[in-house]
Amino acid sequence: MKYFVIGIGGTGMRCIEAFTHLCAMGMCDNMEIDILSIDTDTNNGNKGRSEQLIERYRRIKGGDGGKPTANSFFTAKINLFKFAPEYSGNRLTFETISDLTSGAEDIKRSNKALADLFFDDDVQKFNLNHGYRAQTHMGSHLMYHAIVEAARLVREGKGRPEDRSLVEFINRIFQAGADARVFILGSIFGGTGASSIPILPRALTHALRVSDPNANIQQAQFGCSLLTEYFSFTVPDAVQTKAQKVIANSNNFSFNSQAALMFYEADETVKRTYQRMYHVGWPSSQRKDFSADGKDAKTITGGAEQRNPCHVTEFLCAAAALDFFTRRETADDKHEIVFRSANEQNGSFLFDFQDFIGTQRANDFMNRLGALYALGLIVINHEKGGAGQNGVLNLVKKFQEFGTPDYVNLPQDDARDIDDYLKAFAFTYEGGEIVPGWLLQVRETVRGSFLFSADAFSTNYKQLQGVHFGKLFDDESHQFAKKGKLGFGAGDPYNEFCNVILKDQTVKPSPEIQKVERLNEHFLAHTYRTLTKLYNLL
Amino acid sequence: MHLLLVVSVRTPRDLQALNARTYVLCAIIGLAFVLLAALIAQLIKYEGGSRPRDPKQRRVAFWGLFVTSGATAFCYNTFVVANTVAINLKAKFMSTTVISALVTLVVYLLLGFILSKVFSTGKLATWFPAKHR
Repeated sequence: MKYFVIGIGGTGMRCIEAFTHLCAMGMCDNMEIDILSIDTDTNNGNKGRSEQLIERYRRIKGGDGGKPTANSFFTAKINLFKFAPEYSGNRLTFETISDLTSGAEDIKRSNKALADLFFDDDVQKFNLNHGYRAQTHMGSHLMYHAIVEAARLVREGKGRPEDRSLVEFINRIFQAGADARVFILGSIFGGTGASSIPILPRALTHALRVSDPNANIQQAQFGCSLLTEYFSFTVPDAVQTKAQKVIANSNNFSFNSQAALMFYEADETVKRTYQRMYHVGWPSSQRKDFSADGKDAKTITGGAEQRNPCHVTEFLCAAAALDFFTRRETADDKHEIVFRSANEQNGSFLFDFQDFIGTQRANDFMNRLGALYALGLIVINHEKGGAGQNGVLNLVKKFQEFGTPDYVNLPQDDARDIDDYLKAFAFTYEGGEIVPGWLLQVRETVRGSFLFSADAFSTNYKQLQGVHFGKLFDDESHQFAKKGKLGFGAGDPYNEFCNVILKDQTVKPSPEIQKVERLNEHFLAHTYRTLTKLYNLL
Repeated sequence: MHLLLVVSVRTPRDLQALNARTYVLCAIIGLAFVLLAALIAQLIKYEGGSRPRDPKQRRVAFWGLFVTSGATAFCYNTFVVANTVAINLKAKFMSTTVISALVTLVVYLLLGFILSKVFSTGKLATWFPAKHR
């Protein structure tokens, strides 16, 4: 099987971020995954964050030369491709891109009349460099043509790096043939994702045919997330609306979602193209306000300022992608829309591991997520990574100190990359405050219980520093270092971790089981096996 | 209440036997102290960060007990055992007290080194850390 993920728009970027963390946990053993990020807003904060995360992941894996591994952290090999339509210079608006104002008068009149049939004047003239601003009808049109145009430019030798990246990605899907599984991540209530999901498979096919008219990717299987509204932001006031003319309004998100769902349910083209669609929703009463707790004075339309925190629904979408990649095909496979629900009590969700991954792999997921979070706690708290030190390097030095020179040659940069990744995954500290990483941000969006014990995600600085990672799970059979020496006091999980990793030969990396070659991957495999043994989940 | 020590070593033969017993006892003292050092080493928890203090703490405990073991053997023999030796033989026994203290120290050091290398990936390894590149 060949795996392809396409993330579109701001929500798509955060879904890609969540998917990358799934790979970091080790949920994608032995897989090589091509990820394409598409956004119209090249300076978007979420885009930058996701791509930076993936680049760091790739460095940990050894870049282009990296190989998939298994039963460890960072097992999947990820290849990153990026595309952004060009909306700058003399291509800032629909009007200028479509050349409505050039040519003979009668041509101009005809073109304008045709354009006016579909788009209001304001829509034709707003600045596209922050995206389609919830104008999905125009967005679909422009995104389709941007993709096909990119292929044309590459064929003519004029393509930008982003255009070449897109074409390479499409060619890889084509080469994979019937083995290709393509999953598209994005929202359906906003701008870029909502615009692109319906047209993307067709646009990719037509882009491919620019070079080879007989080529097609119809054998590939397509899946996508149908993520309905889950956040809001400052509603534009009259002044801003008048100035911007076209601007997204989060009050319309529910209507947008309903309209989109009706479309996906009824449209025959969509049904023929997508084998599986994963509907992910969120109660409107628990929508997250992304406008800095309501303090943004105005609507942020995009750019570097748009750097929204992560949400549990994006995590669910990433889990949906994993489900699509790993599901077994059946002879009578047909288009279906699936959903998952979670237990709720008194308005609060009670998320458990199987809610994300299903019962079959729930224990595996529990172990991998728990182990990665525990490694984060070790590096950040115990090895002082959160105090600005290179926590991974400090842990590596322990081996040296205690007579095991296994990782003495681990390059500092490799250690730094893992250290930075764990902070982006979990959290770090700055100026006496907690800076939540992805996992803590996701946890903040859930009112009820969330996977681990209540103490695992403290928002108090001192308490978070003292989290007992041996008691991440409520089930005592998956706890360690429960009591101190001779049964007195609380046990020390860090001491127990060091005892096992330094002395127990059975947790050393196994070339046959884990297939690790690089020194940093040996180190990661070693920590993975140690924590797996301690948690006693597998 | 005074402890009454009976003078039981009166002849050179008695002294010879006492010397043998003293050396054995001091070896056992060395063993006991190194086991105590090992226990303390285990109780000292691993510490993280770029400058963990636990290896130094274990070394300080190890060398502290090294000195203490020799001192204990010497003091015991000088102030307790020597009082059981007849006055005419006491001078000869004083050299035994020195040698037996050395026995304690050698046994302690040797056993400590062996344990440190046998358990080279454990906490005892910090007593005699290996030099790595």
